[in-house]
Amino acid sequence: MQVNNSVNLASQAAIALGNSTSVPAQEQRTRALARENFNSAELTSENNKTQSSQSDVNARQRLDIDEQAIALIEREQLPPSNSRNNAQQSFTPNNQQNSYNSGYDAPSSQNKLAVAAYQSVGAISQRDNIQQVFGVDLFA
Amino acid sequence: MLLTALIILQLPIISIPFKWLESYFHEISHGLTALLTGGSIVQIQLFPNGAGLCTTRGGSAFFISLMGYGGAILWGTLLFYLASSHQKIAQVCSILLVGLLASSILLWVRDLLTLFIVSVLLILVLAKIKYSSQKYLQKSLQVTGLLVLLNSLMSPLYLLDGQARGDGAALADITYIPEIIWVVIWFLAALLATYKLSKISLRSTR
Repeated sequence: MQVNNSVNLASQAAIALGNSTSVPAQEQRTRALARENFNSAELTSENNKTQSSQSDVNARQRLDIDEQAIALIEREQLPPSNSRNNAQQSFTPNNQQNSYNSGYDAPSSQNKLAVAAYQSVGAISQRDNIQQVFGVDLFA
Repeated sequence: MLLTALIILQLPIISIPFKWLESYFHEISHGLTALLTGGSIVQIQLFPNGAGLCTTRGGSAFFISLMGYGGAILWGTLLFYLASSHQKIAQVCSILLVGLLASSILLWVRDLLTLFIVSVLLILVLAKIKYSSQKYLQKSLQVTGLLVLLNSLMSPLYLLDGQARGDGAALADITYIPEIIWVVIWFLAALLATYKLSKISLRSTR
């Protein structure tokens, strides 16, 4: 607001100077006043610019701080909720798939074989655990 | 007699107790070898599909692993050979088998399923002793020996499933000799024993 007013004053003074060419002493005074006003207006505009830029920086800093805080909050709070959401998302399609597939689709023999192989690996690891814990040997 | 044994092996329900008997001899051989090499038997488990598990503590892992299939071959050969020698010896063998089954139940059987399987084997042997004449007991024991031998001829081949588990894999771990070599050794030993016993069987029928 100040910048605009001072600029307007300077322009008005310049217009007034252009209009009042008949009085030299007044002209010099008004020119000097106009220069002073113009200079002061420039200074105030610069000051205002610097203030506005500082306020922008401050605002940005504030925004940066806010962003950091948000990031921290996100780090602390969002992952569990995301994982829960993911878990829910991962569960629900499976349930849906199960509900859809269980009606008409049976596992193939290859799948059964794969599951049996996996379970046998589990049984072998269980045997190893038993052997290590109890100090016994198992022979099939 | 070999033909009779081969036919019985193809029968769906009748062949099951003989598979159990072969599995029992396999596991008891692991256990007895553990005892002979300074170890002890913790538990013997048998399963209806013919699988089994012997839990031992101590002893020589090499001989215990080797004598699973090897022991079943020896048991089959011994049963047939002793039963062929004399009727009285066949009777004594049957009584010893009853003693072995009974002591296994008392000492090393810890679960109901194994108790059921070993009890079925015990009842069958007792029934043979009680209701068969000495001649039929001898013949049935010879057939039983051949059935055990034929089962032990085929059972090492189940190890060739691409999964490194069982006695062959255990021996391969101990000796760095591949599992297939041990399977071939057991198979050839059972084949040789079957050939020898079939010759004895043919000679006795003539």
